[in-house]
Amino acid sequence: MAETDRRGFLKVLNVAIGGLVGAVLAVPLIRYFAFPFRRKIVSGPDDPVPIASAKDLTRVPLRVEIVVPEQRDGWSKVENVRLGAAWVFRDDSGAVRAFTTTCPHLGCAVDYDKVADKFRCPCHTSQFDRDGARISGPAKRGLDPLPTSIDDDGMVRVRFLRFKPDVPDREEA
Amino acid sequence: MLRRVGDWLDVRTGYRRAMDSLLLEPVAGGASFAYVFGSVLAFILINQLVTGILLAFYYSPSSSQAWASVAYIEDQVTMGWFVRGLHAHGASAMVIVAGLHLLQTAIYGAYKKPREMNWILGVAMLVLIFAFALTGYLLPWDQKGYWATKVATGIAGGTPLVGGAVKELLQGGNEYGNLTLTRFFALHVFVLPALLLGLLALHLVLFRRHGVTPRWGRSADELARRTQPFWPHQLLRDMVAIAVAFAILAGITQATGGMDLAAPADPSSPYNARPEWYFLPLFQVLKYFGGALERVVSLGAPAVVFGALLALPFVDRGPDRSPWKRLPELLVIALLFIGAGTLFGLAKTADARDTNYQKRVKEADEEAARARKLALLGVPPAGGTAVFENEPAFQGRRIFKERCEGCHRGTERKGPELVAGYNSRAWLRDYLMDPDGARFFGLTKGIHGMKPVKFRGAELDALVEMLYAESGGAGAHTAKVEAGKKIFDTGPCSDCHSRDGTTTGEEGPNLGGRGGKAWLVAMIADASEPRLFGEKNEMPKFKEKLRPDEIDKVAEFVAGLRGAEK
Repeated sequence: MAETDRRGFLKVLNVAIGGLVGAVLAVPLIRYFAFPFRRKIVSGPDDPVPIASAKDLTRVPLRVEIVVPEQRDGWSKVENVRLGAAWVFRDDSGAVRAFTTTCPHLGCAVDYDKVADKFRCPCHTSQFDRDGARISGPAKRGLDPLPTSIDDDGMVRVRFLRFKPDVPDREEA
Repeated sequence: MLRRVGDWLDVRTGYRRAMDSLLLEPVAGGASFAYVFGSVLAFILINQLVTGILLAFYYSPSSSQAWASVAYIEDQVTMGWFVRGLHAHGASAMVIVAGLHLLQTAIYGAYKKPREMNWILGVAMLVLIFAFALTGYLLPWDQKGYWATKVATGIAGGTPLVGGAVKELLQGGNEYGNLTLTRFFALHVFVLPALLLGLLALHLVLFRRHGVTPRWGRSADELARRTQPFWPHQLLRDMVAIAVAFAILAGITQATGGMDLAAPADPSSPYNARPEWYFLPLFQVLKYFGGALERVVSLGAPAVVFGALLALPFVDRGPDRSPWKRLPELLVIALLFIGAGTLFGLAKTADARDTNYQKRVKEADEEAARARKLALLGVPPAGGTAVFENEPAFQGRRIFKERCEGCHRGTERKGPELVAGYNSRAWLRDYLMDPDGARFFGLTKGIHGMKPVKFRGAELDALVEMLYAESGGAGAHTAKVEAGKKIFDTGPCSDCHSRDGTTTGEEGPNLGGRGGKAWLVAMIADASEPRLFGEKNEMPKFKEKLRPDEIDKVAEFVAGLRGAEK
């Protein structure tokens, strides 16, 4: 009986030591692995990016690329990076508006149909009107607007934002 | 409940029998701390596999990205320094514990019949451990790994007949580059682990087949009587040893702050290549031989050592395992260790005495620290040494070259020459005596209003010192500056210039703070400001062409010209 007890104790001791080494090792390793979690690994200046001269904008949406002067991506720093694109135009009141081309459904690039004067997604056929409101298709919300501003010298700037796809309420990603 | 889940699983997998056959192996003669080294090695191997895989989560094996990604692991990823430290120091631990394992098995005569094959497998795995070390050393693509590995592939290139081919295959072409790194990476993380794990499996199968080699001089009866199962008796001893090994490994990693990372590899820089400590004996040996003999020794010495180890079971074939009966054989092994230790010591003392080497190491450390600090700002796409482009002076120099040099340097100049020595005392003196000289305002269209200063001797010295002080020059002589101010205020200078930094509307620029960084920023941004050149200005307003941070960097660069070498 005493021998069985001794063995039992040795087994417990074994597991305890092994568990201790494992646990002490696991903490830093898991923290290391989870480093990118909820962290902006890819980031750029949030400044609005100049995209076109205000006088060149009309009722017809113009597709412009949003290029930031500098982007951080992990360890690297890259200059003149394309973040995405936007449809920029004047609404009926003449105000400059911009929508990200990223479809609020699952992120395909939305096209503009000049004849129908609608935005259409080529992937899952969601359609949006010029105000960005959803007309039809699987998208759960309208097109996502991007903040615009106009400099004193007439340069239009757009701030590129990313939104969570496929949720009814607009939320920045 | 747990028991029922276990039963369910056992019926379907038979895991209990499998575990029993794994764990209940009899240890002849009983458990002993002498047998722990293999298990400790297995633990360190697991440490290497786990930390190695984790490093691969952030590491990028290309000559442009490798250093930057390792610097990122070291300085930005949570606990990255610790994980890399565990991996790098773990490599040292592998070598040390493998050495202890080898010594223990040698002393116990565990290489004797019928275990010769297992000894050979062990020696082969030792070779693999060194191959791991060699290939892993290059992966950060830092100065240390780059230069040390160049030496290693150089040695391989010296192999008779096939050397050239071996070298090209190893380094992936004619020179070090992307293919060198991808090859070393593939070897280090795929080929070598597969080989090592394969050999280890065979090693363990053979070990189970023959069992432990108990202490010499015990009768079969005695061994049988004292036999214990591996679990829990031997495993507990293994576990204690593993815990101690881990504590030492983690402690050293903590104490050293992980493994150092040198500056990014730079083929143009001088660097005193030193291999990892376990290669130092070979490094030292090479100092004693030159010419053709060097090649023979660099490849021959490892061949002799490993050849001797491989030959051991076939030379020492008697059944008696008592160390006292095998002194000559054990002496050879002891000599190998002592020889390696002596050479190691010689290499270390030689470096310790070499002040030139110490100086180089210090410089290299400083450069590494500088590079890693700059890497925090993000490494440009060119990678590696491009990290130095983050230095303000570097960017300033680049912008200066693009935007300023056309008018301020060379034969097509339109303004004063801005070269090394600008705003130094000598420059100021020359300027005062000849403002319209070719180096100064000789080439501007309309700025020719200033006449040469007539002061000479101590008075000129004082004026120079005063202007030098205005530009923020280091070590200005206070008394001279005061004298200079007096001469300025009372003499002809003040007819055209002020020196308060604010008064405007005079013939010449206000000289307050002239030549200093803030003044340069203002000049570059807009030299037609009233307190500067006003309507006489001929220079473009760069505030319309450059961002404020860019102007700042150019100003920094121009301010730095004073102390720059010509």
